[in-house]
Amino acid sequence: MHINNLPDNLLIEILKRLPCQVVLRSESVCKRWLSLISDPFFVRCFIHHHRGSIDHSLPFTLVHQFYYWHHHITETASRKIHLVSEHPILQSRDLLLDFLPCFQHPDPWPIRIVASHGDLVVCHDNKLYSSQQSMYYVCNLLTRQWCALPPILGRHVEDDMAIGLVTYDGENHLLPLFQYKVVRILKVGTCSNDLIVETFSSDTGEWNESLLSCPQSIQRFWQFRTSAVTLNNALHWIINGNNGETIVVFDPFRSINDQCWLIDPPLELKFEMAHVCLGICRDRLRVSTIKGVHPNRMLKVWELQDYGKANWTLKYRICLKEMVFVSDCEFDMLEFSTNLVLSFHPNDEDVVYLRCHNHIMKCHVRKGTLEVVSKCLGDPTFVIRTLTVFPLLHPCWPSSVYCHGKQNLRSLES
Amino acid sequence: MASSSTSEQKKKIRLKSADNELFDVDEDAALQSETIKNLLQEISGDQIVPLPNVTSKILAKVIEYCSNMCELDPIISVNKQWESFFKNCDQDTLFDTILAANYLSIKSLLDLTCKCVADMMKGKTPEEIREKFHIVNDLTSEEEAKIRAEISWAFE
Repeated sequence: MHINNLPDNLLIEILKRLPCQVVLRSESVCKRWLSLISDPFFVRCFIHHHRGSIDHSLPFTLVHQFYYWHHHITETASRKIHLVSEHPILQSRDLLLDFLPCFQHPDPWPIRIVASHGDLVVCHDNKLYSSQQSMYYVCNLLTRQWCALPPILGRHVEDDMAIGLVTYDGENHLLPLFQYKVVRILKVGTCSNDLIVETFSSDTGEWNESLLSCPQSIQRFWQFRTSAVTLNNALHWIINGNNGETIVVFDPFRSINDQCWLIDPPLELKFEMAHVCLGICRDRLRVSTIKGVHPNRMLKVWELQDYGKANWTLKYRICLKEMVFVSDCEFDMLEFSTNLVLSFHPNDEDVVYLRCHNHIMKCHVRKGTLEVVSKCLGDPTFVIRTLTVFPLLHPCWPSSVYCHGKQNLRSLES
Repeated sequence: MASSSTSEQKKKIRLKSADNELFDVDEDAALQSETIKNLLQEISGDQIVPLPNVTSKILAKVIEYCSNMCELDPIISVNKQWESFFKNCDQDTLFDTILAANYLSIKSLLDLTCKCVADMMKGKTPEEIREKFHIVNDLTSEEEAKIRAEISWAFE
């Protein structure tokens, strides 16, 4: 009896129990294994088998993207992308977007990450000063798979006010498992108050446009203050409107008239959302900020208990001066006014990430401890601007990036 | 055996292997197999259950496994013993047991044996897997290079 005398279903029973990397490497064992493992049916079996063990322990990556420049040379700003990752492969990667055709090492300046969800990111290359049109790319930073989205006729990448990504399972068995939507919101014309939404769907391979119907209470959007946070297949942003700051939700799966609504922030934050961090921990929306003046600055974390009812609970409040450093730290974090909440740990309720001067700190709120995670933000003399964090969660099988053109779809239907 | 306090004689089921050997098995052990359970509903009285897809060598092992699972010992330690048995047995026996567990529909045995094979592959390169399971590489070097290029990240 030989392993290759087992029928396909039993060989799948064995292979689906391996870690993803080992299975993929095993494609090169022999022809039969290659055709078995590269079949979407196998991927569905693999994901189904591992789904039970998903809980809240998937490895994650926090992608920090920022501009920096020296105090004295204001013109030479540089962009940097730095990862804090639990994924063993991503931990050891230097160049991140080098697989994209528009990447020009050593100056990756034109490429910018603009959104993330699951293990995918949306990037765009800024060709504002060239004759070519800028493009959006959807990429998997781990597998380096990427796909350029088709251009949007008559519009520019640079027009967008906000952009978000929703990845989801294609439940229709005729379609590939990994689907996504890229949503961008933009102004039309200079004097109009109307906003429009353009949605790219991977299942059709096309952009669709619709007017954004805003809730009455907001009337008008001024500015999207955060990058998009994706939860329950909907996108969440903190926005600035003419009635103050609030959280707006856009659901690309709903019908046009009810796809946008508001979630009121915690009362205490109603008029001070400027430095609030919006994010997700264990499938719950969170906001956090550092409030008060030195030396009584407080870190506060709220969580949305009931998604439907805007029912916020204050989970933690802790005074910064009471925190204890667990790793060597050559500065007094209280001295600096640049302390900001950067992001949440997606799985551990007690952990938030802070920026303290030019360091990324892991803050264990329950224990009251602070630990330097990275000094990536560079020399203390650097000025850091627009530091944005894009969280990634790595599923048991990495998401594929497909662009399904019309032709593909037709061939599936026939 | 399950309980010494029950004086009552346990009901036995008679199974027949592919090579016509007969096995008398406790009912609760035999009923771990969904296939036997279904067959018993179809045949009447004390007829023999024919299992034409399982040899006597493998059936003896499967019956031993099912009987162990019915014993009072903690399942975990029984499982550990069987795991170490399958990890050390020859590949013939292991793969034949997978076929038998699948045919007899004994989920816990199928899980255990498949896990054992998967564990043998962990941490191995494709070359080492081929060597371990005596698989002939029928891919051309171009095909192999193409796979490696497409999933280069998995080789990092």
